[in-house]
Amino acid sequence: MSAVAKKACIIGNGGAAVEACRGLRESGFDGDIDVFALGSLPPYNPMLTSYYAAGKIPYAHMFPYGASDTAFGKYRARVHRDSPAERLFARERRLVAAGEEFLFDTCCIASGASPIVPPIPGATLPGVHAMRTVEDAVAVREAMDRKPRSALVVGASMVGIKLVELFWKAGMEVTLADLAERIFPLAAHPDCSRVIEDRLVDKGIDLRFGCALERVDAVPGGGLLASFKDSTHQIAVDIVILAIGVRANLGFVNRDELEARQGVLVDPHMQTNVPGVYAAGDCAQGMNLLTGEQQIIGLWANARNQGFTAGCNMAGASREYAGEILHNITHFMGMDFVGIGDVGTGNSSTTEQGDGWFRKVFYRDGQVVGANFVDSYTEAGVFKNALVKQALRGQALDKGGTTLTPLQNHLLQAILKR
Amino acid sequence: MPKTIILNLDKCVGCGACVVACQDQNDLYPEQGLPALRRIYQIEENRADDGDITYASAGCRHCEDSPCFVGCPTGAIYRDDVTHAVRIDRDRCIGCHSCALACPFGVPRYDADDHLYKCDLCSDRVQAGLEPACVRVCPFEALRYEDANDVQVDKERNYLGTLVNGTRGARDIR
Repeated sequence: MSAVAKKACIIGNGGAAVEACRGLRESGFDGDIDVFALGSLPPYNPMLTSYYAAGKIPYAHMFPYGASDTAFGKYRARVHRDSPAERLFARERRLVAAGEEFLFDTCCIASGASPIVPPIPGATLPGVHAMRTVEDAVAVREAMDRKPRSALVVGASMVGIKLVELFWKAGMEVTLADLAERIFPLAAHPDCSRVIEDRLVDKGIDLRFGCALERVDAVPGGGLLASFKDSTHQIAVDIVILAIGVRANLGFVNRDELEARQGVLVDPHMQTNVPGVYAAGDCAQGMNLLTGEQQIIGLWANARNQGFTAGCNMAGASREYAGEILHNITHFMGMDFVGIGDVGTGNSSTTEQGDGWFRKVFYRDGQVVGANFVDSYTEAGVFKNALVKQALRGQALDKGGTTLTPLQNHLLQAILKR
Repeated sequence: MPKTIILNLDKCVGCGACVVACQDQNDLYPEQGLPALRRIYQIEENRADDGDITYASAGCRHCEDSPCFVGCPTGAIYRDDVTHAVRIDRDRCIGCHSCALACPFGVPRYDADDHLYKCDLCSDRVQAGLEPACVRVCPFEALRYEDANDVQVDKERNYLGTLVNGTRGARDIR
């Protein structure tokens, strides 16, 4: 049905949006592409904002497609700056953005996600920051220029740990707190969490798990005082970072017509339940190949692949993106953490550790379903891709690797048979 | 179709000449934590009875749809317009190691500055009309620098990429 589409609409202007434009043009789409941008900045990668805040990269390097609108210009797309979607009438193929109405033939929702700011007193005080956007990064970097001495990072996440690293390298006193009982609760097995936590404690990081931030108060004369629920303990710091997670930007979606849970549900074509309307990136629930369930997998490569797939299909091509598995690699404070697949629900595991490294592989009914590595990244990609490959084939990644090819088996020995 | 480094598994004896040539060409010193950009794998099959041993000299495969390229958060990984090698812009590499988790072949390694370093198809040599160093020294011509299309038929039967992808003949897949 999209073969005759003349007007394509992209809601959002991140990596998935750029790739949707590329998919459209590379599939021969010759009509208009209108991109409705959340702000006035070029597409940036949210992961890079913590690197800018840490002074590791210059401002311009937060924009992988270039620090101007060349990314969209290359695909002859018209960018409507500061035009976040207000209401999408998917079946009527109508979008309201910045007070104006726009009709389209086909649309991709690539509106991304925003940090969750807990509704607690003091969450918007000066000195309390989220970390997701370029504006967040600029604010934290400016705060660092004032030479703060202490910081509280709330959220034992991949973002949170990068901020811990930033403050630790600046010689500050750092506390990492989370409601969860341990670090990386979603990506790490408790045994792996413990290995990382021990290292963090050795480096002088104050860890406080199982505690919920209740309020932040400004201290007369400067500084902040953080209070936790069910605790009389308070922490006096100069900076508070809230890195407790993100939520898909879907306030403009009518959930009665567009199926959405945490994100918009999409099929392997990235199409929603409304024909001609697609979704991609951090606001889309594509397939988790291991579980067979739709899930937001908020990774840069996943967003790009989904966006490109959506764009191709918007142009009338037929392209599928089967899905992904959960995977993370985080390099911080001189160590590498890797989480791949399912690290929580298996019924057996193997653990190896040596001088400075840790590996744990998880099995369900004898089949490999996931892994954690600390300072053992070299075979992580082999393992991850083998797991994806087997999931796509509907086969198990056997402990002995019998369903894999000889070279893959050989490479995997480093993990499974060492 | 651009040229790339092709390995004929039937000819590779695992002598390691390619590894030494790579170190020499790229000034790599393993004792300083900088191993060569090629590695030799010894793949043993059917160990219980009549064992087969295959040697494979493997490095970056400069994949067509490179997962490292797609997954690089900064755009530091790019394709060379002339040689079509997958290369690194060191100024943009942030040492996040995302490429390590993206690469199906375990290629990425990082230098003392935590920047990715990998095979660039000896782009300097190639642009000067020479072969990549590893190809130049291979005594059995197991490594060749050729148009991938030209060797496609053989490749489907013999070469590393097909071994990895599991399409080698039934004789070899057990």
